[in-house]
Amino acid sequence: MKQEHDLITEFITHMEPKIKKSIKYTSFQERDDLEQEIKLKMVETVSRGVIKETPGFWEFKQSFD
Amino acid sequence: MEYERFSNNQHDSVEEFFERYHAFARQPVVKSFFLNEENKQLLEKALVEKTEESRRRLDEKFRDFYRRAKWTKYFSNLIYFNSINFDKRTRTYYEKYLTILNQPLSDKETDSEDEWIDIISKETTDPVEEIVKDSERLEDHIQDEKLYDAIQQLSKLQKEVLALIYVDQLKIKEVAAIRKTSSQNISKIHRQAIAKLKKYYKER
Repeated sequence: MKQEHDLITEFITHMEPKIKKSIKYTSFQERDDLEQEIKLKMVETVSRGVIKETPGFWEFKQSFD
Repeated sequence: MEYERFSNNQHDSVEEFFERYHAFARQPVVKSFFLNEENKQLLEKALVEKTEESRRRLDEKFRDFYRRAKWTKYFSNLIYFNSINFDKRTRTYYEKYLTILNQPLSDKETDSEDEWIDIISKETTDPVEEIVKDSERLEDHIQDEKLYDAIQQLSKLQKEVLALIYVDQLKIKEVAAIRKTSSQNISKIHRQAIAKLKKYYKER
């Protein structure tokens, strides 16, 4: 869990430009709200475990056998 | 020679692996994973050494890589759709709750007959700004700290002349009339004051 916590922080920083770009289409007064909402949603998806755990290499390979 | 054969051997084993499990190797995530030469070497190692350790390292590296790819994809979509939804939401909100200026201030029955429009102030300027705007002192109009310091070096007369020229935007001739002196004199004071400011900037 600790690792995921670090990873989400890294991801938010990493995707900052994309967020900034997407909020450009919103009116000026709402931008900060939207940015915060997006970041909150990102943290929520991770903490709720919405994205399934990914398989390892050999496991993934086996699913094609 | 020995080494080369060995490395060739390794290379073959990777190719062989890809051929044998072509359905697996054709997966986009697998393809992009092995675009990195380092990851290819990890696979070579795992195939040749066949140790638990090397297999595990490849496994972990791939799991991490896959997870990052998945997250990136998921978050890209999340950002995109959330922005759209948010936009829709705020738009409907503003359509539903219009700002109606001539509705009463409260729904309760009060004595006041004030409407929204009455409480909107006409002037929204900063009070400090308001005071400073009419000031005759040159310094009150300066925001830049360095320039403010520089102006402190000037004499009272120089400051007054500069204020008349730049704050009140008067012509040299007009300033001369106010000060009851010749325009040549005002021009000279002006020039000297500017030179003094320039000198102050250079020395700092």
